[in-house]
Amino acid sequence: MAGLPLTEDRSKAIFKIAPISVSKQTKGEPMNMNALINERNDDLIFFGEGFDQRNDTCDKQDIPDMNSHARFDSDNVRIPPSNLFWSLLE
Amino acid sequence: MAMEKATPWSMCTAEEAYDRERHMELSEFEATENTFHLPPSRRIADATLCIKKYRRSAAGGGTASSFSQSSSESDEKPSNFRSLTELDDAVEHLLKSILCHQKSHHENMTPRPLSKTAAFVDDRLRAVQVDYVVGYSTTNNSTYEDFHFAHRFHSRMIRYNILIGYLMSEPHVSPSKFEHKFNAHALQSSFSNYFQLFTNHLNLVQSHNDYQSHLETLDEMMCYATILNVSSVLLKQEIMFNATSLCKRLPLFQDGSSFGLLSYANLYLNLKPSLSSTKDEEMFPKWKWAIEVALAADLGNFIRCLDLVIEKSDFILKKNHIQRESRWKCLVRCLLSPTLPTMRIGLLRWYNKSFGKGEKVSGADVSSIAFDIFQCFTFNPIINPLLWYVVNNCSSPDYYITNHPKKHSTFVNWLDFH
Repeated sequence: MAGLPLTEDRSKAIFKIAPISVSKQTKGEPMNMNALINERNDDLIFFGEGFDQRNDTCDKQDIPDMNSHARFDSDNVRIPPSNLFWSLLE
Repeated sequence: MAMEKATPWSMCTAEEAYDRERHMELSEFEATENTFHLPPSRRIADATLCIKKYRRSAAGGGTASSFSQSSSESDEKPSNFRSLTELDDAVEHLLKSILCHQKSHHENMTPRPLSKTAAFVDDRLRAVQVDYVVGYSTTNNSTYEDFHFAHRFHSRMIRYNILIGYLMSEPHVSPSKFEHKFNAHALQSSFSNYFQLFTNHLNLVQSHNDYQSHLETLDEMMCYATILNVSSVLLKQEIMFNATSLCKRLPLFQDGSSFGLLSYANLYLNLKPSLSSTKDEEMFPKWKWAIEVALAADLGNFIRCLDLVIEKSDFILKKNHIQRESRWKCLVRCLLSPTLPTMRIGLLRWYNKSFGKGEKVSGADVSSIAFDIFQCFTFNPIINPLLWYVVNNCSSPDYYITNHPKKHSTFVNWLDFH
């Protein structure tokens, strides 16, 4: 079936979907989640992508689609013929 | 899993089958082995596969039709009316034999797309609901067996509607392949019928040996209804999304109201006296958990919501069978997943206010929140590792699946990144 193969590099998937950018308050340089996790810097300031701090609004287009990377091709899925799926329903 | 054959003409009358043959309305899931692959005009009905089709009242079906066909002022049912046992058999056939294989029992039939299978199953389940509502929903002289069959097929239909709505919620599934509006309506009807059934037969059930087992299922259903309500209200409240378009592809209560909570409140009040001997903490554990989630969501405390879901992260499979406790957790996640963007935006706003006030926020806290959200929801195998396991045909007979960040995971080992 289609979908993210279990062998795909998970770390890439993590950063691809983390919809948060981080900048240092002093420099305003964007940081990725990797830097955030590694540095654990208390001086970090963060904001959501496209998020306007001043008026608490956000453009819809800037909200990442949380499921966009997880391609579960529901139309072409083949449920394996086992009791497992049935045990979800019975 | 062996496919079982139904009794000939137990799910549909021969008259209807022949009528649909003539009008080219016979599905490939209902045709004989030699004709299922042919165009509808040349298909022949298989007596063990035909299932009563849903018809709108204007097309000669529904309530009006049933009343007109029944003999006036008598209890005699029309010929195309199915007993509760037959309705239960039809639901089992649709879910166990058709949905789980995506084909009929013909050996040379290949599995059909899930959307096509779901469209067929949805239509026939709708007909089951019509038959039930018209013939049995207001009956007062039911036996325990009647209750047992109706209780079983209603709860199965609820689980099915939750599951299929989630599986088909990908944006690329077009409305022509799967109509979420119908799915939402079917789910609402199933909940309504289920709670009504339980209310009507409360006295009958309370005196039976299986009472405790039925209470556990009731607890499960009340939990689903509550979580569905939480999802609906959260999405309706979020002005960032186009709720109209979003709700078209999600199994929600369409009005975003408190339908789910109110529909069984009366039932719970009626039940409470009979449960007085039970310890409070043992009563309705799943529903209580769902109420906690609802309360946290109502207060905008999404971290608490996520924590509550993470608590329920262990899934256990035994001998190729999903434990009931795991099934419930899996289906709850199906219902909660649409609200995740809303929760994330809520958290962003929350932090944004702190930044606006010049308050310092720990980077560790921020990363922790981001990962909590991520680990729970943003990736389908993580949202629902159990379901991912099932549809990916993982073959180990016994498995312990967890996405709890603090526990070792044998299956979702990519979570061990920190």
